Amino acid sequence: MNIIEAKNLIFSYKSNTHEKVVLDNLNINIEKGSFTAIIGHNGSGKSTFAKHMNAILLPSGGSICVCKIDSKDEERLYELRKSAGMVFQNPDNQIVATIVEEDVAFGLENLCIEHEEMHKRVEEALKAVNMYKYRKRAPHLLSGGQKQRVAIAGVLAMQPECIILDEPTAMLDPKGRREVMDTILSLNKEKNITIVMITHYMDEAAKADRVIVLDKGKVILDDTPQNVFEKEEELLSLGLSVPHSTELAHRLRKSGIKIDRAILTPEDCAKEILKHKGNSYD
Amino acid sequence: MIRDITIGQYYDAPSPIHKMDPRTKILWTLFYMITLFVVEGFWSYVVIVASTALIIALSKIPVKFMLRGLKPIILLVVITAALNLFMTQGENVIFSKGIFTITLEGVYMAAKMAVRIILLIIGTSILTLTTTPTVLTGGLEILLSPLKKIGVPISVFVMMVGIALRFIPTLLDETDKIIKAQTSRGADFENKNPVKRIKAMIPILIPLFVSAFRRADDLAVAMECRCYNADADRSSYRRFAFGKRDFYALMYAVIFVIILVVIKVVL
Repeated sequence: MNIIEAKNLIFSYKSNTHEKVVLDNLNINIEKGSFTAIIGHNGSGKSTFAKHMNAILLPSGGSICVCKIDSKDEERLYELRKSAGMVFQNPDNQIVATIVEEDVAFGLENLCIEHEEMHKRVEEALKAVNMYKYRKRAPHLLSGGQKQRVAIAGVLAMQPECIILDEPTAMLDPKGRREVMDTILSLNKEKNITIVMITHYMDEAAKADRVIVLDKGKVILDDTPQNVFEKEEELLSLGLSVPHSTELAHRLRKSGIKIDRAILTPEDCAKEILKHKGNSYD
Repeated sequence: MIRDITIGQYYDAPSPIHKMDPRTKILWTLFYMITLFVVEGFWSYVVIVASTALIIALSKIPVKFMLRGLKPIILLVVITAALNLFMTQGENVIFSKGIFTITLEGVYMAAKMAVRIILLIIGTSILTLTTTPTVLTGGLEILLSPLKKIGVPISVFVMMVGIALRFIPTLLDETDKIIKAQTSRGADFENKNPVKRIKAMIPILIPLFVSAFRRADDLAVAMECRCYNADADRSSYRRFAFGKRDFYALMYAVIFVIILVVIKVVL
């Protein structure tokens, strides 16, 4: 079943003198329970696409359906936004309340969820992102990674089908990045929540089931991370790169060392190198 | 340096006043302010001072901390007292020289106004010191909710206050950063010339405003994404309940009024 169905999606900014096409006839379906990463250079339209999945922007042409709800259907706007939660880049600018647990409850208050149910869901959401013990804290005293996990909890409490994350780790330090990535992966694997993540970190994209490469509003590549990161030259020409371990494997191969399978993670890379040396990886 | 500014400062302590329902505290403060300006006579003020002292003791807020809050208003108290001292007309002249005349009534009036202002500040700061800003706005929302019926957007107002409180620390941090950035570029914030000092504020304020607007834009989108609709009804995570403490506070208010009335009648 598809959670997100974009059909001939076009989005353009119009001014008197010219028209700038940001999304150019996109056809993207995202399957329930999947983890999709969207990568692309600045201005490739990836954030614009993300904003279409939550009806923050409406298509200029074509259509996008989220959980079978057309984003142009104003009557079902809140239903759509409840099904597809959104997490943004700047952790500070998406936290509304002065206390963590109240911020997580914000979306539920908007949905008029009843009191007992709300407390139950806030507790569950905070536990799922491992922030329950910080529930009474003021958000400005948390680290970037913690704030971002609170933002994820806020979305999670609304029990969405799908969570869209627009460069959630871009403003975080490496530790915060790891925390947020681990949270996202566990939500996808354990709670079976569909994840669409926009990122410019290739190592993060490598953890997804599927990678979509956008450039100038068009889908250039759409495949498993293994197959996408095989095409190093093509990615480089688009101003993108590949994960560090993939790059190392490529270079080793070029210098004559036999590595046949696609490498995405440092562990895989280490295994292959040890295999080449005749040792096994433990 | 900028961190020292505490707006709506809260002093955490395990006291019965802290645990009281915010609505009780708001109403009590209102009631306190009214009595302060209605009562007359020395003994009535003795009763009010004594009961204020009792509440401070119950709230477990150090007296030193309370008095520190009075610092910014010292000037106001002095000016008010001085004006009353010299301007009040009366028959019992104590001192007279040129245009300055001090009468007994003037001294009385000056003392009364000074005590009133000081008690007013202490009374209201007990409310803010014992109640977190979110609880306070939550209590206000419920108390003001009858106004919703005549079309006053109370929920929106409370949401705005809440967001303002949420972003005070964030924007203070930002201001600190901007000051440091501009200082490293050679901006002079310590010039003796006040005109130059005011001019030096411009390169702080403009980036601050730009960033605040950008944040506001981001936040508005994020709130919309979480189904916020200013016109729709919302449920509330926080629930207030009147307890025993609130009942005692009410009883206390009644006794307080009775004592004041007795004083008025007897003396």
